Amino acid sequence: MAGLLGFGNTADVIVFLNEEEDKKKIEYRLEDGTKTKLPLFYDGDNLSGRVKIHVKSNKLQHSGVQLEFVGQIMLLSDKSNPQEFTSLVRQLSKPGELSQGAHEFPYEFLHVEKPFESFYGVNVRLRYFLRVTIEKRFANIVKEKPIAVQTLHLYPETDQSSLKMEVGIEDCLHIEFEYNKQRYHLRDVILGKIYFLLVRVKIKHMQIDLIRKEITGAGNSGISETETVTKYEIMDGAPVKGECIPIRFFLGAYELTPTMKDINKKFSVRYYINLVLLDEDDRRYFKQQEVILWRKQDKTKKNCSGVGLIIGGGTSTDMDTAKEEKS
Amino acid sequence: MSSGGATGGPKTDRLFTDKKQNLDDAYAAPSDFLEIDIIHPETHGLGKNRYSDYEVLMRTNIPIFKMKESSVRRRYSDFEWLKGELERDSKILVPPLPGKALARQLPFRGDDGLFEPAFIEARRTALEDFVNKIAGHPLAQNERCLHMFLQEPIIDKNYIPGKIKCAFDMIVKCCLFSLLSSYRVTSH
Amino acid sequence: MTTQGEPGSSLEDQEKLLDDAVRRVKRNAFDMKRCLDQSQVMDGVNHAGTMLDEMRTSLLSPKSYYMLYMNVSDELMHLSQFLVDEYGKGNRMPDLYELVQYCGNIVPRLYLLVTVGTAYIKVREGSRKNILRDLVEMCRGVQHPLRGLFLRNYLLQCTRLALPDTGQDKEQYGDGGVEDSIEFIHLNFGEMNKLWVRMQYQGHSREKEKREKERLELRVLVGTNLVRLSDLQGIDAECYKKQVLPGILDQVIQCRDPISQEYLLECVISVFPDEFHLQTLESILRTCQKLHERVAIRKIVVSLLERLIKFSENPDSGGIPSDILIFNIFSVEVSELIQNHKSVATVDGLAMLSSVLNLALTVYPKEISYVDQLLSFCLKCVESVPEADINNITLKELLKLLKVPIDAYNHVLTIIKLETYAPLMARLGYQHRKDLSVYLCQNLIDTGIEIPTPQEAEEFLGLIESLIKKQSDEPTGEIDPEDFSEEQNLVGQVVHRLVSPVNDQQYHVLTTAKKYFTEGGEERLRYTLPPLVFAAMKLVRRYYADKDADDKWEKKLQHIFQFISQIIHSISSAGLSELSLRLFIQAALSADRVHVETIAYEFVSQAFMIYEEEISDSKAQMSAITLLVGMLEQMGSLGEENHETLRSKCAVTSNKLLRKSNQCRAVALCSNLFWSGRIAESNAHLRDGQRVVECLRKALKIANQCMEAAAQVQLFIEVLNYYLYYYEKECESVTIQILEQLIRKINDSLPHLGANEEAEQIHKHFQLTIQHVVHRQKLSEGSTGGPNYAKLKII
Repeated sequence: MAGLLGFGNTADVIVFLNEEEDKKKIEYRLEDGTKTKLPLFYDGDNLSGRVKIHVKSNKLQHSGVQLEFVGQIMLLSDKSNPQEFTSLVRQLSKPGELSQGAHEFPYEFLHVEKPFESFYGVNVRLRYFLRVTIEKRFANIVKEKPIAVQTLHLYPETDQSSLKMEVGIEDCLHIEFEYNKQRYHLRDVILGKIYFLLVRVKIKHMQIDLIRKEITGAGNSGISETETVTKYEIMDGAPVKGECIPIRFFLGAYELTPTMKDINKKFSVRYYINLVLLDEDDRRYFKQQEVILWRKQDKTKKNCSGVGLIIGGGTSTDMDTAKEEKS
Repeated sequence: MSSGGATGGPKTDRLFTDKKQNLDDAYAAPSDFLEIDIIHPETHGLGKNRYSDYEVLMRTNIPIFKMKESSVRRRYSDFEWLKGELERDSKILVPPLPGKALARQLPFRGDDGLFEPAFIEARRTALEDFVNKIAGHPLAQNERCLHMFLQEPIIDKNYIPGKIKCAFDMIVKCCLFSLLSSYRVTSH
Repeated sequence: MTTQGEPGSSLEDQEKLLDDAVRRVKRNAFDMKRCLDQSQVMDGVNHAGTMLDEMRTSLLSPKSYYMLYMNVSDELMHLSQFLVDEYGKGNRMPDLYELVQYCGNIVPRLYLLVTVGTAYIKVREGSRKNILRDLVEMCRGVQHPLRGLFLRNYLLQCTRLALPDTGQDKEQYGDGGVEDSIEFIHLNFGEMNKLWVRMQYQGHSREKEKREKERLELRVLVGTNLVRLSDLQGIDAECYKKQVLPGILDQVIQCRDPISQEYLLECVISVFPDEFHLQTLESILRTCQKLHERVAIRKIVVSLLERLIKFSENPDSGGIPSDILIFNIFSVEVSELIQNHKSVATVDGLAMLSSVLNLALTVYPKEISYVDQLLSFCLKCVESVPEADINNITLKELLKLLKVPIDAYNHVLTIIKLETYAPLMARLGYQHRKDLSVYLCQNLIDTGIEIPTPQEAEEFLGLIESLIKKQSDEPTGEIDPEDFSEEQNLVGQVVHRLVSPVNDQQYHVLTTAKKYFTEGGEERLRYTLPPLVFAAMKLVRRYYADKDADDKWEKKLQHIFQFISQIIHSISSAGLSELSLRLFIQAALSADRVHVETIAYEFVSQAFMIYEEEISDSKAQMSAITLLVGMLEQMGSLGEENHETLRSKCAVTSNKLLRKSNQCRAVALCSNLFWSGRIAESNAHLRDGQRVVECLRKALKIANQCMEAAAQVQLFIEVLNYYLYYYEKECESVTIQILEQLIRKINDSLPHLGANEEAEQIHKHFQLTIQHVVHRQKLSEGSTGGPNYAKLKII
């Protein structure tokens, strides 16, 4: 914009993060298909570094230099109207004049609250960035520096109630399935079993589909985007009554995010396991169950500044119609 | 494949199977036995009243069917009737029937038209395919029209459509599977 | 790649599908190996996974699928070897064990898991027990019978050298014992058997038979489980009995599938050692009771018995422990089977009993009561079935069963001690009874056993009655005369085995035999009675030899000769005149030898009576006369009076022969009687040269009357030979003149004979005769003593 008005880039702005090279980088896929790798921060981590402004012209008149830390949710359908849920501001320089050459401004945000995880979805984007603004009379010089944020959760080990349910079509196909937990961390393994109580259809195979639903907007007006992350075959052929088929499904193989619910009343990302049986005439019998995914703190990462968010044992509310599961 | 996070031994955890399969069940004949053969095509009548029909021979061990074995004779229009009933009354995606072969009903053909053996044979296999798909459908199995078509000597087209009640009053403490039918349309 | 559809039906389809699949396997295997060579493990595993996608197919017949499997498992060997040799160390296996499970399709995933899991065990880093358990449990995911069977077979193949076994092995690996292996195989076996049985329900019911055939082709896959169990060194008899076998039998019984039951039991019997079977006979046999009616239970029981028989015969085996009452177990359990299992037909029952019998005879050769017990059970079985239901196959089995003790004992005297043998044998049909009788006789003859008492003779002959007497159930059709005479000759030989060391008892033995044989009908007499006559004559000689020890010997001899006479009369009344004539001659000689003149004379006169009354054929007459003359010449017990009567009788009889040539020859023959006949009084030869020459002259006279030239010359030559004989014996009545005269006569006649074969023979005969004379002449040149032809001039 600045260039358009004929002033050109009178200054180059670079935002440096302390120890950036040592930070773990997280890759995200952008809407145009390209990928970007961003340094990873956790909730409560300090953000510090310096801003380097290289003034190319003789001098640069400004009415203040600001550094902001922004957490922002943006619907791709409505880019012009992003919602900022976090914004911290530091004044790097009072209004005045910057002479030609390099100027450095150290900065530090302590114990920064980063309540949500970065998310680059189909319809929505939740991102964090540092933004330097050199305020000028006509056009500000703005520079953004994005970072990645992951939220770590810690569930009590005792909260391991399994998901168990009998499901069927009367007089035709009855099974009982069980997944060992209702909440899985992203490197977790889903253990389960399918117990066949009645089989009067000619089953050909059985699989579990891992499904991601991205829901933007609130209530009924929300837009839902469904994506099958993977299909995982768990049975080949037709079982008879009494057969018990084991499931061991490693989540680590896939690119997953934690389950996100109603993030700032803007969007949700939910995961489901869809148990699908296929009969010889290619009819599909399926049952979809939501599972909660969460990010577990790496063992290697010592209890650093990122304080795990402790969530109580409340189950998800909208499982599905009947709730006969005993667990 | 990204690297797994296993440390120590391999992950051999499984859910404990609390119910050991009863050997009677393990070795029992599958309870999904359902076999319908369309056989013995015969041509009856003369002139405008000439038509072919087929024996519909059914063997099953599915309890919803009254008879374990039954045989009826049906003609093409009966299959059309069944298809119509199912399409009207159930949410089933009914597979296609073999074509009506209108061209074969035109006059001045050099051959036997609808009654050419090769045509009858092709139609027979297609009808067999059709009826096996329908009869294996859990929802179709609950339709009166299917039972009448398969097991009653004469189709009463003035019947009262409805569902078959289960022979025993079973309280199923479970929720329904969702059922999607998708037939691949195959041309014969 | 597709999992849809039915197996391609035609042979060409199958070949093409298989070829294509194998080609894809090779290609991926090549890529896999290339990656492994460069230590790119993950890429290698990925290629292996792609290769394994082929195993998901539904298009191949079991046979083609098997071929595909062989190719794939061969290639997986490379991967496995690589993991064990190169990759395994350094705790990288746990990750790999997880990584292969990311594979989306279950069939390739499980093949990989098995490959990695077993390699893991082999590098000895993980818990063997957990991994084995995990593999066998995870394989449940494949419920498709064919694919599941092969997958689980692959599991067995890979774990072959990785199963925990004895204690020493535990130290090397850290965990897992033989009980874990047993549990592992039991689980896998149960699942495989289930899949194998379930195969039966695949596809349309009209293809049932085809599927049964296919199932049979795949049986070894299931049987491999049992082989693995039998390979485990850590299993002893106790463990086998308490743990291993019950686990197997449970599946066998419950599967209720005839193909599976039959195969698995046979497999159990063949793969486990006999020592184990001995400890578990009851469980195996009781399992048989619970089998499906289409199972050939008999085959199973018999193969078990056969193994144990071999075992007990093997000198290295140590034999069957005395605390295992093997006979009792088998007899009880097999009886139960026969009585309670509806599919065990009488024929099967008999076949099983036959094997039990074999066992009893091998293991307890001295326990005749066991055999009797079994035979009476057999009888009960046979009696419990309506006669109409007993078919030929059943009877054949019964026949086989009855031969078992014959072969085992090789002693017919033991057979006749078996009380139920005869009644059971009576259940056989005519032909089988006869076959068995022949078998018994043959055994008697081959073993050379002698039947010493009348009771035993009675019993033995009773057994072979079908050969001796006409049977009520005998078919009316034509009898093959060759077979018949063979059989009867055999019976004849049996007579020679009826031998008692005690003379008096021998007499009773023969009387018993006579009682049987005389009921045999005319067609059998000619075979059975003559040996009896000879046996009696043998006894005559025995009595005579022992006469000093037995003062009643003469009386007894009389009895025997009476006995002989009766027999020969029976033969004679059957119209067998020539035979009886000969037998009378033998009897006469026999009596002559023991110096009972009256009896000898009586027999001779019987012979003459037969000659006169019964023999009319001139050839027969001639040979009878020859015999009679020969007989009389040999006898030495006749006094002058009797001898005179008889030699005249011979001469007269000879003279009465119809044909001149016969007359001539017989009369010439009679000359012997006057020369070398003996009479009791002087016990010297008659040497009546006068009468000799009279006879010969008479013979020449008769020859002269012969109309036919050739025959006449022939007779002349023959008579000449008589003359020469007597001349050489220094019979003074024979002179050189007589000889020269006869020779001249012959020389005169010879040219008239013409030239034919007969004439040539005659010429030759004469030449030889003359040569003999010339030879003697040369020999005697210079010597003075004895007759010689020195003065004989031969023109």
